[in-house]
Parts: sequence; C-alpha cells; structure tokens
Amino acid sequence: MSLCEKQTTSSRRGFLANGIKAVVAFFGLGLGIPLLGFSLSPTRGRDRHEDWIPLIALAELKDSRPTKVTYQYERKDGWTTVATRKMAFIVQNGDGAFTVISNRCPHLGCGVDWDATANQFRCPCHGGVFDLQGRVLEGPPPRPLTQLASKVEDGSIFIREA
Amino acid sequence: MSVNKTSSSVDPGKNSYPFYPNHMFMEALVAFGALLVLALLALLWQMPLEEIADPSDSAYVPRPEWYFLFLFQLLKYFKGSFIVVGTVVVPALATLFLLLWPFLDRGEETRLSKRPRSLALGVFAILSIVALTMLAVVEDSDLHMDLPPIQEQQLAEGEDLFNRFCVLCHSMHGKGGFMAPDLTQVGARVNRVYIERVIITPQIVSQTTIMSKVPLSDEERHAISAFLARKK
Amino acid sequence: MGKIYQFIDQRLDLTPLLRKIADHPVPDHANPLKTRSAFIYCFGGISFLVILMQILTGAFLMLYYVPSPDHAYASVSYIKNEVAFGGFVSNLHRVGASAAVLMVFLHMLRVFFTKSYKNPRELNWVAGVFLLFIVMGLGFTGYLLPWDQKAYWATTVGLNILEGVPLAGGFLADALRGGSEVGMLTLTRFFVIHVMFLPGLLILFLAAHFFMVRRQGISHPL
Repeated sequence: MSLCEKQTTSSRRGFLANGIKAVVAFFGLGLGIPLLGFSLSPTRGRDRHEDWIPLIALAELKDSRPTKVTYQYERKDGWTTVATRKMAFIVQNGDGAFTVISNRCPHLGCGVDWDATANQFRCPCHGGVFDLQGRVLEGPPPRPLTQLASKVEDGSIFIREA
Repeated sequence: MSVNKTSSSVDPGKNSYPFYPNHMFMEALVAFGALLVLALLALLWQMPLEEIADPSDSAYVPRPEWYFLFLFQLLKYFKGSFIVVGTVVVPALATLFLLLWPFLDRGEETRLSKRPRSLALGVFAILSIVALTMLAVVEDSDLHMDLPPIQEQQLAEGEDLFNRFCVLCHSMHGKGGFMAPDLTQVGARVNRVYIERVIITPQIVSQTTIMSKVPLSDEERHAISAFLARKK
Repeated sequence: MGKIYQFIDQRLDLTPLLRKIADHPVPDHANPLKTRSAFIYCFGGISFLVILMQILTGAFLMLYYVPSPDHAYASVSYIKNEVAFGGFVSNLHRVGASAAVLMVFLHMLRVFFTKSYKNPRELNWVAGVFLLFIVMGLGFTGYLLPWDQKAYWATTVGLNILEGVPLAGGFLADALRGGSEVGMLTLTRFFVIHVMFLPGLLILFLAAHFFMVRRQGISHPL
C-alpha cells in the first residue's frame, strides 16, 4: 500500500461507502418499480359492470314486504370470466314504485337479512339495524344501505351493479 | 506470493484489504454489472410461450433446456441393453467422481502447472460437455428443417416418383433393385427430415455410397419423403 | 437511521458483530484491482446474487401463477401479456435460471482449477456439488410450470428417462409424476418441489456453504 493511499484513507472509505449506497439505491429502484407495478397491475382501472342485469319479472313481486332476489352476472376475474352471484332486496313503496337495495352492509360488507317480526334489516356482524328504506336505525354503519340503479323493461326489473 | 501451507485463513496485513468498504464496493460494482446484463437479456431476449401442452401432438420435437442438452445427447449413443450406460452408469459415475473428488486428489500442490492430471481431467470434462451440447444443437438445426405438412395427394405423386427413380436400386415389398437397402419400412427407422437430407446429400449415409443425386424439384423431393416417411 | 440503529445497538450490542464482518480481511488475490485474474473469484458471489434474484422474481410470479393444467398456461400468458412489467419479470426469471446454472458451473470450475477444495475444504466442495444439483433440479421442475408444448414434452421425456433406470426408476418416475401420465398431479408436484422443497434445501446448503467459507477463509491462490 502506498503512502499516498494512507493519507487519503478516510475520504476513500467515505467514497467507497457512498458508492455502495448508490448501487443499492439504483437496484432498489430498478427492481422495486417493476416489481411494484407487477404486483399492483390488476388494481388499475377497476372494471365497472355497465350492463343491465335481469332481476325478476314484475308479476312475481309479492306484497309490500321486501322481496329477496339473487342475481348473477359475468365478471372478468384475472384471465377468466366467472359468474358472480349476489343478493338484493326489492322494496315496494305501495304506489307501484320500488327501490332495489343491496344486501351488503355499508359498515364492513356483511350480508344483511330482513327481520320480518321487527320489520327491520339486521346485519349479523356488528348489530347494524336498518329500516325498510335502508336508513340506519342502530349500530356502526356509516350510511344507509346502497340503492342500486334499476329500470323496468318488458315487465321485468333490471339493475346495474354499483 | 508463496503458498503458505499451514494456515488456512488469511492474516490481516499487507497482503489483504478490508471487507468493508473496499471489498464490498468491488462486489457492489460486480453485482451492478451482473444484474444489468441479466436485465438487458430479459428485455431483449424474447422467450415466447409456445402452444398449450398437447399430449396428442406426435410431430412435436421435445428438447430440454440448454443445460440438459449434453445429457440428452449422451443418450443417443447407447442403444438396446446399453441404454443404462447413458441413463445410469455415466451420470452416476460422474456424480460420484464429482462428490468424492477432494478425497481422491489429496496432493498439497495447488498450482495448475504442477497438476497435469487434474488439468487434463477438467479440460476433458469441459470439452465433453461443450462437444455434446454442440452436437445436440447442430443435430437439432437439421430437425428444424421446415417441411410442409404431408398432403394425401403427395403420397401418390411420391410413389410415382419412387417407381421412376428409386426402384432401380432400392427395393420395396420385394420388388425393385438390390443395389441399395430395402425401403419397405424406412419410415419406421428414420424420420422425414433425414430422408430429405439423404436425397439432397447421399454422402451423409456413407462417404462411399454409390447413390447419385437425383435432379428433383423441392416439391418432388417433399413428395418422395412424404411417401417414404409413411412406409412403416 | 442513526437513532434507530443506536436504539437497537444498545439492546443487542450489534457493533462488535458488524465490526467483525466489516473488518475481516480479504486476500489480495481475490481483489481484481491488485490481481488481474481475481475476477474468477466473483463467480460464487454472482451465483448467490442470481439465486437471490430468482427467489425474488419467483415469489412475485406466484402472485398470478396457478399450478393446474386448466389454468397454468392461461395464467402465464396473462402474466406475459396483460400484467404490467409481466414480460420483464417472467423473462428475468427465465434468464436467471440459465444464469444460475452457468454461474454455479463456472464457480465450480474456478474452485477445481485453483484446487480450493483441498484439505480442509473438502466438505465445502461436497456442499457445492449438492448446490449444483439443486439448481439443476430447480431448472427441470420449473420448465414444466408454463404447461406449454416444450414444458409438457420435455418433462414427459425426462421422466421416461428416469423410468428406464433399472430397479427404482419406475417407482421414482411414478412418484414424481403422481401416476403413469404427466398431468394435474405432476404439475402440482413439480410446483411444490420448485417453490418449497428445493428452495428450502437450497437455502440450507447455501447457509452451510457460507458458514464454511467464513470459518475457513478464502483459499490460497494458485
């Protein structure tokens, strides 16, 4: 080792240490960005389901109590297309008008059910209670049950996924 | 630098330098280069997915990844009851040799110039692997001769051409000449690409063959090879 | 950063440990600046780096890959064509496999020609030979996973070679295949061998390999 090197040892150490950091940072970014993009790729552009989904014939609606219906639609899931089944309630307002309410509790997404004796929707998870119109009566839900866009065509009810 | 035979690790001193940061910086630079090469290869080298697996496709020519080619090629040289030599004996001996090598070679000398047998063995191993791999690649390049698929009308045309040119020397189903091998079941022995190559260059069968080059168009040659390849 | 390090160091007393690693001397014959031919001492380190890259890219590829004949091909084609950076990540894994085999082989040649395996390092050579076979095993099992033509046929042929081995061959081939035909069970087996068993062995042997290197130091030069 030459004398010259001995004199500059400490600045040389600093230079080398910074060089190591630079290389590590370069690879952190060079690999981190592609790998992050790779992982997050499916979250880009949430696919909205724009089609109208047939629900039930108007004639099948019973009395004023909410009618529970399951519906099904095709959804793109990764490289496959899968049939997704969901549930909703049709609530009649008496004058022939109706609203379609999703059964997903707005608190954490559990499925609410109609309690016929109490005339309320009840969530089985954290005690959320809603009235016939989906308004919150009790419990933690931050907002009313979601109303789905609906229309009547050829005597049947159609909805659109939120 | 003379070889210190007694100590196994290096003393800190004038013949060494610290791991951090000096050696680590060096390693970082090397890693930088290596990963850069890897990333460039990944960007530039297109490795497309082939068609989905089809167990009914008998025309597919299976090949392993390049680093298994030498083993794959080795199998071609052992036939019949000698197959186990290629599949078991040679690989097992090589593995055993590899594992036990430090216990077989117990000399203290580390300089390569003083270890002629080790040098010879190493070079022999490398050359065998490289040669087998290259042979596999070369033979494969022939296999990838792009032949149009066999069409039914080609078979009749091929038979016609065969009866015009080939039966003078070759025989089939007991008819024809006896100057050259019988071709009744030629399709079972060799593949179509090989037949094409023999028609183009008869000498690949034997340097002293008396078979002559027949003036054929590409279509005519394809017809004959199609006809013969079906003779199983 | 410094504060966090101090907090941990006060409790775990890491400094002497790091000192030991940082200050351990590296012989000049492994320094490319001092000895021109020292670059051959890099192959082992590059092998390790490539293996780390394989573990990293492999883990990320598993975010999408499904080991089933119904989905394997579609999921790989989804990765390559639709996922952001998917072509890059899967190519990196593919190229990395070749690079790993090549680098481990070159590293082995270096050790052979410098006779670094001589007493007392015989066991480290043996561990290295196992590492070579593990890396090649990873290459063989990984080849089937995309479930395309070359995957299917190379595996079929590879397992038939094993089947031809007298005595245990047929049993071993059936065990690996999960039956007599390459199919669903072969794919799940190869997948688990590729992502669990062989990587586990790889890490074990690497740990032993590095432990022995640190214990015994870098061997003497030519």
